[in-house]
Amino acid sequence: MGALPAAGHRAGDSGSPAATLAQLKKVKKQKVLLMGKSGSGKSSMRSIIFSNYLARDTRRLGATIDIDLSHVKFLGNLTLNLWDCGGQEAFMENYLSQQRAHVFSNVGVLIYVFDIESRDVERDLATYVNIISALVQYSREAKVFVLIHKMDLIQPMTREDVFDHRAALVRRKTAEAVAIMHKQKPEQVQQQTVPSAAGEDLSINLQLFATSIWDQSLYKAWASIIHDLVPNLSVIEAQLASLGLAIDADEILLFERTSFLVVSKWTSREGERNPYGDRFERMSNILKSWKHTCSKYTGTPRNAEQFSDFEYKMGATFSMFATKFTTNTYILVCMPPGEARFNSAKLNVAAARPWFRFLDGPVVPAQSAVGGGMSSSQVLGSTPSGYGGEGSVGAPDG
Amino acid sequence: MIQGIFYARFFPKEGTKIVAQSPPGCIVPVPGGSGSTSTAAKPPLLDFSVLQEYIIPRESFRNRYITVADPEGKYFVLGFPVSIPSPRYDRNEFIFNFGLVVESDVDQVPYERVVRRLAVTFAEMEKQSGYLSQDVDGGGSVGGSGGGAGGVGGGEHHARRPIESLLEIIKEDLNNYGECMIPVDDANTINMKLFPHHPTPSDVKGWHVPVAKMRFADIVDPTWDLTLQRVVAYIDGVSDVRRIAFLADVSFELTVLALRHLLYYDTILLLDMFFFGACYAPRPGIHEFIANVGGMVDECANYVCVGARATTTTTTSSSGQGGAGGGGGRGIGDGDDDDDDDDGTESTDDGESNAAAAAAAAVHGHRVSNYMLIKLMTTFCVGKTVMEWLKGHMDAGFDVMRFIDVRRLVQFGVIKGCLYRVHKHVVSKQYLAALATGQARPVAGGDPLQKYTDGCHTFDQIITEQNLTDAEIMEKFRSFRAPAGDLTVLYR
Repeated sequence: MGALPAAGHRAGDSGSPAATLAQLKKVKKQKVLLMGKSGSGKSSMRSIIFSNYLARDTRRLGATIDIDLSHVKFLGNLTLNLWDCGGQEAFMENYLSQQRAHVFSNVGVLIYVFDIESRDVERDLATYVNIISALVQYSREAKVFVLIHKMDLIQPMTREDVFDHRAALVRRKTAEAVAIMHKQKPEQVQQQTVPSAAGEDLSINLQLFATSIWDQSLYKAWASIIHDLVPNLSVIEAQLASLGLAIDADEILLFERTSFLVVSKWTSREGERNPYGDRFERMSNILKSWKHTCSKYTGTPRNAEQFSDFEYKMGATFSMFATKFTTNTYILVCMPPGEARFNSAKLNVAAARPWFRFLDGPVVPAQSAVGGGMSSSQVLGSTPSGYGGEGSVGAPDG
Repeated sequence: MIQGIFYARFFPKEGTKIVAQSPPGCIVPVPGGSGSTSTAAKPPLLDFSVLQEYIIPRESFRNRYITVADPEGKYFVLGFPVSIPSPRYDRNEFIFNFGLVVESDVDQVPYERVVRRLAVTFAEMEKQSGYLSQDVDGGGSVGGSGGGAGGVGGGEHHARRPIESLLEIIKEDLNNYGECMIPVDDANTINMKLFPHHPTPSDVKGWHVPVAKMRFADIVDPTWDLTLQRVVAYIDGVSDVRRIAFLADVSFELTVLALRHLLYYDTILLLDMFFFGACYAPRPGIHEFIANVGGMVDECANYVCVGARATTTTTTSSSGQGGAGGGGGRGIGDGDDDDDDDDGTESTDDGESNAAAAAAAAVHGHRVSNYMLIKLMTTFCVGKTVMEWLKGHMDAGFDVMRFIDVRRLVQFGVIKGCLYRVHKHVVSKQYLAALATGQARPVAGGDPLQKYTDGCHTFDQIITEQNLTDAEIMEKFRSFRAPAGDLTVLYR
């Protein structure tokens, strides 16, 4: 929803390469705030995604004191400046008063985590509104991701209802907070924004996800967060598409090496018919736990590269392989069955590596005049499709 | 002075909080009407919201001693954040800190032990019986100690002492008495004392001459260490350490130990040995002497002037023989009047009792003029021995020996920083070369002096260690089997 105004606003200045470069640079420097009430699971999810923790390992984590800064290297040319902010009330007050400018300026993404189990919803929302106000004041352009966390604690039957209800509440509160900020400081807002876009500025770029560390929903949310930050995304997508067509694949997924988040994907017309909308984050989850299993049996550290090649041929249904692609990525290719097709696809993927070399180092996209943010409205897993087999890749069913 | 003392704890929901503090309101304002009396008006000493990240810091700073200055630079917070990891706590950790607030100009070293002690004691009590975690959220005064103790002591059924009052007692006792002994529960008592901090004393060498800064005879009592008592009796400002060891019949090592002890408490000074053959030269401090800053010259006059009847002056010269005349110079002009000086120049000679009163009168009778004293002090220079200096003044018509105790003049100059001793060293090029190439070999003939020829040893050292006089040493060096010009004598 909110992606459109921001993208439209940006389209105005993305014509020149210089603007693209500036934008690229900005993306690189922007920080990612991870906030939410104490004990809502911020550090846990961070550890799972970026530090190869298992869900059950997160029980051992202590409370985060103040702000835990980490620079997560993601692909070659994107460093996430991740601010994991301890959620204790004293710290929250501090962020909003003493450190307000320090914390909230130059924010690229705010990830706000709600604990669905929390008793005092009113209070949580009040804190959230304060945070949003501060964010609007210092970083108007920031994207906001709200994660309704610990969904595993809700009965599966009612999950959707609970989430929808909470999501509506959060959306309403967000809109209220933004509106209040506009009323309070109309002149300041006017100065900061392009006059013509002033009408659209009243909303901020907000996305909501229901998450849990115990299933793949976490990967879905984070892949979508990351998706918007990856520079040269359109280039990646275009090249993946041509690769997919060339090797006659049904689906190609590109994973980041350590987090196994889906960086980009391409799906053929046939693949679009796949009924399993959550297959991407499922693959992230499956590959990551497989990595853990590898590390357990080989005795190698968890952060080490655990496998370089993974092949799966499902008789006459489909075949797939996941392999190390560039230094920072893994690629997963899914295709119709056939030995010859499979082998040539593997060779072709290996041959395509040089095309993707830019994933490993900072390269300015020469041909791309389209900003990376343009495609952000397309959310992972939202494409309904009918396609057999892929969803059950991890489970050896015969 | 401890300005404030506090107990801070990290709560998984609220964050860092001050649970107890003394005096109330010194760190964070006391909430509610309880502090509505006169103390409520007093603002906190420092801005807690700024410092809180150092009071309960992130993990890498925990379990160590931390000092933080408040932004205004008025106070220091001394703390020792303790983290006890255990699955029985919410969020797997119990983090607390007992801290002190002191003024920024106070010596913090004595307080470090207090802070460490508090941290260690309470951490142990928490580990054993959950003393802190069972305390209901800062409410204090909760009789919850039943967890492990179960009321062992028959009469001790009282609710346990709230931490707030504990802190108050600690603060008051340490400020007023410098120590405290506080029973926390049946099993634990906190004993603490503020010890003044002294730096580690420098090494004492055999050729140092200890000079007393106070009259040991007055303060020594039979409970003192026996060795120390014997050593102290021979500290006369003339005898070198080796001689003291010999005279006191104490082993050299023990003597050194005893003297370092005295040095630690700043009760003695270490000087060099006095010889008439030694050289002295002025230091920048001489300017103050010339300007008579703080009546320095008068003080000097009191210290060095000799009475007319000082017939013993001649014996002083015997100290030129390796300090042999140790007893010779004592008692001369040892007027009581300078004993009260706080500058440490006085030398408590044990022989001072002889004719003290008479000497006092005599000193004032023959006071050398300031002009003369300054002239004497400023005429020391490199390359001129005390003997030559003396002779120069004698020839100029001033009978130095009659009016001045030369040793005391020199000592005064050295102590006050007006003079420095120009030490004599000997260097052998051959020996140095041998050292550099790593083939320094013991000389066949076993000349014990060769090891001193690397330029790192003063003649004082050779004199004391080899029990030779300066002249004898020079003679030995002259007869050294070495090419001509190999040995050089350096003065520095």
